[in-house]
Amino acid sequence: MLSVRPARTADLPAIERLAHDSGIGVTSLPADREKLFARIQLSLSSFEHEATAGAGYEYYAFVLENDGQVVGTAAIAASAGFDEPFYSYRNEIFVHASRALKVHNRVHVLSLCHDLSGLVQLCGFYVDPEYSGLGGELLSRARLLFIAGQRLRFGKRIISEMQGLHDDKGQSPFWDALGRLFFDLDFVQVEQAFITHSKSFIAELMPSYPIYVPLLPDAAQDAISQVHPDSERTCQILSREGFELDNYIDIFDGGAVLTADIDRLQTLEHSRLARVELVDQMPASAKQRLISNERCTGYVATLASSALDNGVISLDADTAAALSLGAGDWVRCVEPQLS
Amino acid sequence: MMLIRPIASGDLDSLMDLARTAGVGMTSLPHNLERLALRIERSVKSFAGELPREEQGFIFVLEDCAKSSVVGICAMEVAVGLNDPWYNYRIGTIVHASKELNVYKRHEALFLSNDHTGYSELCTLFLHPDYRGQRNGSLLSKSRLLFLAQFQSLFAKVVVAEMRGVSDEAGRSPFWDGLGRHFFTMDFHRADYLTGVGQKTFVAELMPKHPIYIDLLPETARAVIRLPHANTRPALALLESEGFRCQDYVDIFDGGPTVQAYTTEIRAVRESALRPVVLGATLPDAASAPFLVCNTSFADFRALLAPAGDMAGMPLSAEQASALQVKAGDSVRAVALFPQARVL
Repeated sequence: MLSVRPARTADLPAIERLAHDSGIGVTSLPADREKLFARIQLSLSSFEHEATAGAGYEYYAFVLENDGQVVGTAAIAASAGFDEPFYSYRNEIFVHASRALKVHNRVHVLSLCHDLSGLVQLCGFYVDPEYSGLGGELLSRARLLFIAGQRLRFGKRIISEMQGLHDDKGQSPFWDALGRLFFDLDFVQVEQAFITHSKSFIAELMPSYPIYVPLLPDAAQDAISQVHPDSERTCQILSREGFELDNYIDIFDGGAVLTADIDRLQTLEHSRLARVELVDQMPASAKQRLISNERCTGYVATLASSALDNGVISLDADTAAALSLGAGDWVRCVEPQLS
Repeated sequence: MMLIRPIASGDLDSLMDLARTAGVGMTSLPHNLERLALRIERSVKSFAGELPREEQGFIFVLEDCAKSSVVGICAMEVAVGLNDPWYNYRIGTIVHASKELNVYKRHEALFLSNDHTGYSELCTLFLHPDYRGQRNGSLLSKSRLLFLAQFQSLFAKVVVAEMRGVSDEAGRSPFWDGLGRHFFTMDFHRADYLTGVGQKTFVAELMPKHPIYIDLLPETARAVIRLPHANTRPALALLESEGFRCQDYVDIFDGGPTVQAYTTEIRAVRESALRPVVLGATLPDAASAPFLVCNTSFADFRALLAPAGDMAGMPLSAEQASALQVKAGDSVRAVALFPQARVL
């Protein structure tokens, strides 16, 4: 059975292994034991933090388990960048027009901005490829079920950076055309630098004036707002949730940065609270649902067959046990995108 | 004898012929009858003192007196950018550095500027190919500096000159192709023409307003920034010998250099002096160092080349004096045509 729960210190080796497998481009999941350990500790204290708007440093790390084995990890940062500015390029259109000359041109410009600083951020996502289907959806959306249940802990807007295009050797056409001019580092080396220095620290060395996209080579232009094939599935899940792809890109690899209003996400709008009823035999109307309990430190989400009728959800004993719930307890549930 | 004089209304046909000879790339001399007529009219009114400062522009022609034909033209604007904005790119330096990351990178960027607003400008310069050499180019170009020296108070503290940038025989500019083209739906030839017929401001307003990192331009465009067109090199060398320098301002269309100098520091201005006309003396050897000589009249300005020898006065032949409209004892302004080093 697949389930999602908060990460624990004991998960460190498993998370380190996932971080290592995630490779280039998932900078929010550095393959660095000390950093990962610190994140788990931060996560543990964040889950214990009172359910208020919070201080901003909160970081909630989750793991995806299959029958007790960790096969994926994902996180929510309460405030992107936290105490540092969070840099991204905003896609802008300038119209260069002249009535006298009968010229009307739309020019695509990338403007360095801090627009996304302090927004809620979905980050640190990686799942073993064999679980990327429903497992990936459960891991990704369990975070949104958690946000729905812990709404006070989170602000209004949410973002998620998608891994941008790069080749097998980790070289990024966007970086090569832009960032590389400002550093003597290739993309792989920059990824390394993110581990020892914060991303904002490095962002401050990037060009601060707007970049006219037509001046970039074709390969770099083609990489703007694109998503690496490894992240396509995640991107698809979040797009269906209502995230928008077009507004911001990562300043390093040009990958799409998705943005959304939290309260308008599918999971927030369509998830239902229901009381648990234990059944031995599932009714014919039963179907797969993403189901979570309403706890914080004891948060669990799972994917299970259930029947929903008039605010009552029928679960089998195994599912209830996985969620640490008994009859009469509340759950939050939503239908999966995949069936 | 070759003589510089203000342009007159009757010169329109000659000017059209010159414009046809100049062809594409001579943006300030478009082959357009109406435009040229207006330019002449503006110059005539400027010499007549009928125009406000921001509209004043002086055009001079080089006349082959023997044939009574106009073979060259040069012009200056009193103050640019006071009616329509005057655009240049300033090449500025931006350093991105971090000791911690062991990064130190220096970048050049093009900043759209109106820094030259109000400055005087040496603009159009064209000499018929048949008359190139024999110092005609120097006479044509530098006569303006003598006019400037004589009537300094009319002009700004800084004088600029935009030198034509690199383009190929088909009129393609690598700088335009690398930058301007992206912001227009027209080729360089067309933009160049619009510029020449007074639409430069319109065109400039379509250009990118934010600084352009030069590193982002293609190599072909980067390579021609600050470079003059091969045909313009002599004109640039001539201005450089007078103290003009490129201070990192370039044309927004073709990337050609804009050179500039403080009016008071231009060699011809600094070294020129008034001398009394001497008639009837033995004229110096015609091969000795030529001097640029002008009268002190504003509306009837005349300039020509004459050897000065080592007299304190300015020896002139009767023919030269007549062309300059001066008589013995009158003051003329004179300066060696070339800096001393050039004579040797």
